[in-house]
Amino acid sequence: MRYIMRKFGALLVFIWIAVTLNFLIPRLMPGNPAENLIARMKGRADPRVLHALMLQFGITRQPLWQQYGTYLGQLVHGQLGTSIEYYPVPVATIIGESLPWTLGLIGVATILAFGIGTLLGIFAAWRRNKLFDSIQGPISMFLGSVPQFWLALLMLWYFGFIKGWFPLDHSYSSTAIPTLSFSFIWDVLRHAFLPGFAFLITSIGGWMLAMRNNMIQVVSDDFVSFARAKGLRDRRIMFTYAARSAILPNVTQFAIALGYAVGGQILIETIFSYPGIGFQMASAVSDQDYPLIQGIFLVFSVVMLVTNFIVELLYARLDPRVRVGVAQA
Amino acid sequence: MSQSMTVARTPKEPDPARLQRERVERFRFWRQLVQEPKAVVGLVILGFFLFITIFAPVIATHNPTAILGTPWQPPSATYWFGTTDEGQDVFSQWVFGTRTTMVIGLGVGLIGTVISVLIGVYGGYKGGRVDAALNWLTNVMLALPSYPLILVIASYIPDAGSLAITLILGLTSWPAAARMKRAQALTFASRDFVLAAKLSGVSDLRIMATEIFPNMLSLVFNTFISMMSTGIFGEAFLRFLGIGSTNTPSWGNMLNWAQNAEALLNGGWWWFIPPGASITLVLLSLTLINYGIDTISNPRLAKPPRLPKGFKLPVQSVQGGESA
Repeated sequence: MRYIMRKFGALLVFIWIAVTLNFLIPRLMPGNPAENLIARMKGRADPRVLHALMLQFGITRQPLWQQYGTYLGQLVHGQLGTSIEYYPVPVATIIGESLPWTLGLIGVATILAFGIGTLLGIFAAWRRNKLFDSIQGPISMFLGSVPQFWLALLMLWYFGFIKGWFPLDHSYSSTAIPTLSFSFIWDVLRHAFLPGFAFLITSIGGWMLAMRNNMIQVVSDDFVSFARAKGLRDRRIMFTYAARSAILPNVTQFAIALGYAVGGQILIETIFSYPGIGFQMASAVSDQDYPLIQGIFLVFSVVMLVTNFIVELLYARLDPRVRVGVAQA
Repeated sequence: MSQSMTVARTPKEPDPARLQRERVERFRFWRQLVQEPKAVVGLVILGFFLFITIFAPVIATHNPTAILGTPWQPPSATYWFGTTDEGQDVFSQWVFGTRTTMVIGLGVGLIGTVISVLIGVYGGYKGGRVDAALNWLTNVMLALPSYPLILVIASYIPDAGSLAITLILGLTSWPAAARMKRAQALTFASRDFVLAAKLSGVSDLRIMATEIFPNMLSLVFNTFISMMSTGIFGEAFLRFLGIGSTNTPSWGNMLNWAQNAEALLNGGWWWFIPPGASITLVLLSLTLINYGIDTISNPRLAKPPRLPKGFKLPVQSVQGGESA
């Protein structure tokens, strides 16, 4: 319990740091992009909004601590400001609308990559130095080196443009009506396939390699030899004995990867113009839509911090040594 | 440093055998690395790109920014990698782009490694409050999502060029490496040889520099290689998104220009392939080198000795002997 409280305290402090960083970054940066921004907004937005923007970016005579107070107050009320590009849509609404797309695409792809990669890793370690194990290394090393976004570009070009098998951009056809019909779901799946596949194929290798390395250490442990001596079936030893105790580091990595999925894949989503968080982030950066950039970054940071917190609890639950604080040999 | 001056230095006759041994020790790492096939492949590929980096002006066939011929020409004898949408030579762009990108990669590697060593070694060796504070900073940096953070910082810098990109990537990429260094320095801090140095009155700084640092050289080298990957990928990442893109050719800029000119939809695959394939090759070579270093410095990864045919060990006792 004390462990949980301590970690929770750390989480609160970390969140406070993320929030403060988010407040400080625009104020510490050289030049004043915010002033250009206000100049751009003049005439388009009503004075009240301009005033709010000026407060948000520190273009005011107020002392810093007072600005900070206002900022914290707005955050507590869930106000992340108003987007400039999509004016007058609030930032929170944009994030809310893009999040499902990102989770549906990157979240699902992450889960698939974890599942497939871990299974392959178990298999490679179990048949160490056999055919599959000896080819998996170079292949996953190569796939791990290909820049994901470049592969995505090539796939878009070949399968989308040359072959015409898949749509080129967006998450569903402009003619499709968003309902829960079979044809619409099929349309969405077709749009998600290429970006999802590009993500999947470049991330499987990491899971496989990690699982294989954990598993190899476990396979030579006594309890596995003992299970073998008892005459248990190979498959049973592989999954319920060896893999089960080797999977722990991968599970925690998986939780972190799920947290990362919330931030989307900036490059892949941009290439396919997939309307997720990553795409919004990239276009916000190129449009200098600072409130949106800040909002996405803040939400993403907090999600990551909370995920880390959950992972630590999970680890303590699964591995008692962490909880008690026994030094590892 | 004044403390170290009090340590008496007895002038020694140079012992030829000892000198010989020292020289062998110094080159052992490289000799072993060269015997590792993966590392050799990696070093060759990396060497190729470093060669282009150094001799870029000699290798390039044209001025990379000059408008020379018809747009969208496929690769030919004159334009080895074809031409761009404005009729510039892609090959020369790639050659000079290699230079820009590799320099950014090396710079990020250097900055990231130096920071991670300073923070990791100092914290791990000193312990106490300083360590707590540094470790805390590392954890905060580690918990924040790195690429979005880089993007946020970069988006506020007007006209970010190569230098800005190098600094941003270098200053944000050290935490994971620092944590590893700290863990290792922590184990060294209580070892006998460090204790011996301490007792003989050597200053802390000197112990860190001469006792601890040399013992983690393979880890430091590993870090440099990984940070360099971060730099090369990060450059492509930022510039592809249009941050800090300039008129200087670089791999990221080339991808960005090609994307903006819709090269793939215009059939200009030759503009996309060279930078992307180069990034792939360099990252692959760095991974291979890192594997090579790992195999040398981690005895657990060493291959089990070759046994005569038909000889079987009783229940795999070769591996896992250390885990007891």
